Amino acid sequence: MARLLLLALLLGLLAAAPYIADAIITAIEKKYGVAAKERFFTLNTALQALEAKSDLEKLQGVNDFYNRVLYTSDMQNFGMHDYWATPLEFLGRNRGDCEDYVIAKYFALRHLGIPSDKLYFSYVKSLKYREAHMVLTYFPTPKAVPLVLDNYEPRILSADQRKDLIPVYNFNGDALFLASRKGEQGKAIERSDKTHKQWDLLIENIKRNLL
Amino acid sequence: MTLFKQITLLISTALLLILAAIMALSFQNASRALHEQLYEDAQNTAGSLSLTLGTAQGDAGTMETMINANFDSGHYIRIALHDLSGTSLYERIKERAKPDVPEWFVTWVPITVPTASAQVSAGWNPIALLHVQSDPAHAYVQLFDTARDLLLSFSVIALISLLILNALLHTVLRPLGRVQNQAESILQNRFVLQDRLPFTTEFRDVVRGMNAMVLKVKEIFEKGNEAMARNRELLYNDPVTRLFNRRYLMLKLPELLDMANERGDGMMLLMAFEGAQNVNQRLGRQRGDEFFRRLGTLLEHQSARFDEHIVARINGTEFAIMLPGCTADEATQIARQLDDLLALLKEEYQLEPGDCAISIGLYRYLCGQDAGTLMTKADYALTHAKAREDGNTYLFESKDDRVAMGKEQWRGIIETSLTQRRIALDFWPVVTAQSAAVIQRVVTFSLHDAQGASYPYGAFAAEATALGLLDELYVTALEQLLRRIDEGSAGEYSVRLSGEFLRSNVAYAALERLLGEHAHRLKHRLAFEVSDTMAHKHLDLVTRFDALFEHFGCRMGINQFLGQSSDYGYLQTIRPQFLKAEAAFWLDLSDESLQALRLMTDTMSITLIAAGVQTPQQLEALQSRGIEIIQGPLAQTLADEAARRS
Repeated sequence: MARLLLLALLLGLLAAAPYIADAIITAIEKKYGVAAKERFFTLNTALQALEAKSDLEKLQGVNDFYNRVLYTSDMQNFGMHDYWATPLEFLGRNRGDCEDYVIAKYFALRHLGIPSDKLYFSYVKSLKYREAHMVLTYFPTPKAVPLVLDNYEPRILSADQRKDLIPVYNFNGDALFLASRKGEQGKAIERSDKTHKQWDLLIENIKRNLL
Repeated sequence: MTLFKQITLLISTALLLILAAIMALSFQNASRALHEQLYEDAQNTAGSLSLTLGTAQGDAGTMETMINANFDSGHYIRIALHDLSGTSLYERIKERAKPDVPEWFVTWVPITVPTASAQVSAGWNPIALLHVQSDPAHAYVQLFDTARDLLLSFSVIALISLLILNALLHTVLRPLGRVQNQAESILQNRFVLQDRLPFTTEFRDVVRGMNAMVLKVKEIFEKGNEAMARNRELLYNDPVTRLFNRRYLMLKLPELLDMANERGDGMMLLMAFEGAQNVNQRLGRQRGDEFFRRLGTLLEHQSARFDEHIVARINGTEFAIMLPGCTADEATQIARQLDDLLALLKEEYQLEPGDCAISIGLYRYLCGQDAGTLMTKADYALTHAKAREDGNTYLFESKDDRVAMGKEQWRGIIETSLTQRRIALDFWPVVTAQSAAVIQRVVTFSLHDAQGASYPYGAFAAEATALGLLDELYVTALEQLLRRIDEGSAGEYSVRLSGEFLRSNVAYAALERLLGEHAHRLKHRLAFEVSDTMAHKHLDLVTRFDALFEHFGCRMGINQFLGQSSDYGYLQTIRPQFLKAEAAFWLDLSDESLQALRLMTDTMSITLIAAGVQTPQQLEALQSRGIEIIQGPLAQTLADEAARRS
């Protein structure tokens, strides 16, 4: 009985843990100013509010939150062509390009308990803007038509409703890693930790709490 | 192990270890880079192929064709397509072909190729996972080449480094060789100064130390030499004329009268000077002395052509001239010339003819006589010369009871001895006074005629020289000796070499040949001795022979040492191992002179030996002067007794 109580207490504590820790928010304030600090507090509060909600509500909440960030090209933002910013950098600067939205939304949703194999980084072509674009897709089941979280589109629509997007390729670093592990089990072959260059760099940056 | 070898070993080992480590690291880096490249190739293919597969929109046949097209390029050992649950959809595996490198290399350097994976989509949906694994065969070849190149270049670098190291060490350690040479020279009593101080501090200090020591030894030597010369002058010279005195003459006579003396018989001129008082009165003390000095020079001049001649003033008015090898006729002529020269000298000093005069007794002496007889006979001749009315010389010849032989007879005996190899070798023991142990045998040789009569060296040397057969006799005798000494018999043999033989043209080559043939089995068993006179008169020649003897491991000694030289520097040049002098010489030497001589000989580790020791009393006296090794009749007696006892 006592053990169960302790477990409940621990779970409560875990649930109470904010998405972005206070120490990191202090560092963010130092670098990006009081406004940035406020944004992260808002994020923590928003995510905390979503914790007990359904997947769809979580998707909508996170999508709405991050779509408020300004769109900027990587060139203007980071001085390089294609840079995958960490969620901290993205919200810290309060600007980013399509991948940065996808990344930030992905990690927020993962934090809210949505499994990795339901979320994909989808490389698409935007017919409307005539450019390469990336959106976050949510698959309730592997073969279902996914829901699309797009920074240009405030609504979360099903993929077949998005005639303006042509799918090219799906990617999920975590899922790839887990799936290839699973798929190759029992084979005596060496597996590298590396899977995808941009993804690997991103994971490394997140681990370092790059902001 | 020399310092050079040790340092070389140390540095070489360190160098090779470092090179090996660098090589291992380089190889590891190359290997890692190859691994990475293999993986990246696989990853690139996985990425691009998965994109291509996406265009098939999930059609299995199209996807298989696409995979085949990639796989058949031959760069992969495996391409597999799995659905999301991990079930295999399609797979191509290459039978692992043996890489084109030696088997041991493959076992030694295992290359494990990681698998790269990518997701495959159809439309919006991810449908499969693609796994790609590169073929390491090419990587093996590349790695093998790298290893071979590394090994080759490192071998070359190691070789060059070792060569440079060797050259550097040689340069740095070259002074050490000189230091070692100097040290060895000092050990062999050769006192060499090293002018060039080595660059390396440690070596420099050592050289400084050795130089200082050598200088000290030189100083000791010079002091000893000076003292010897001073004493010799006081002891053996007439203070006015600088001629030798009676003491010296008496010491030298036994050697001249020795049966083995190569000059053979000779003449003694005993000259009495009358009117010395008149001369001194007329000329005064100083010019009187000068007059006698001039007279001495005249006598010396007249005798100069006879080797080993002695001119001595034996008292205030008598002069003795020893002319070895001189005939009665030659001596008579010299006496006549002396008379004329005196007349001229008197004129020069404006002396009246009647003021002074000389009388000369000429005596023909024979080898084997004793000094006392010689002096008596010469006195007898002088008395007769003084008494003559019609002249001032008198020639007296001892009756020669030895068989007088003509040239032809001599030729017969010598040639027979040569052809029949009938040269007798005579051995004279050299013993230590304490134990009577024979430490050396002096070798001389003699001839025998058909009747069994024996002729010592002195008897035939002059004749053999005249016949031009002396060299041959010597060489034959030496050859006989060298053949006779076998490895079994112990002890050293010391061969007396006459000056006559050494000065001949064939001696050097003959000795070189004989020693070349025999010396290897007679190491440290052979010694050669030459006379003091020979050594200081023909130092260059003796030095050459000394080097020859040293080369063949033979020792060398000086005999008949008599302090005729005013400089004993020659001892330093030829560095004899022993010094032999007549017992009388050792006993006659002043304490100071002996001390000075010992100072020199002890520094150079020269053994002092007394020759011609006759009586136990003599031996006792010699021992009290620190001379412990003797030869002569007493040595023979002691050796015989010792042999009988054992």
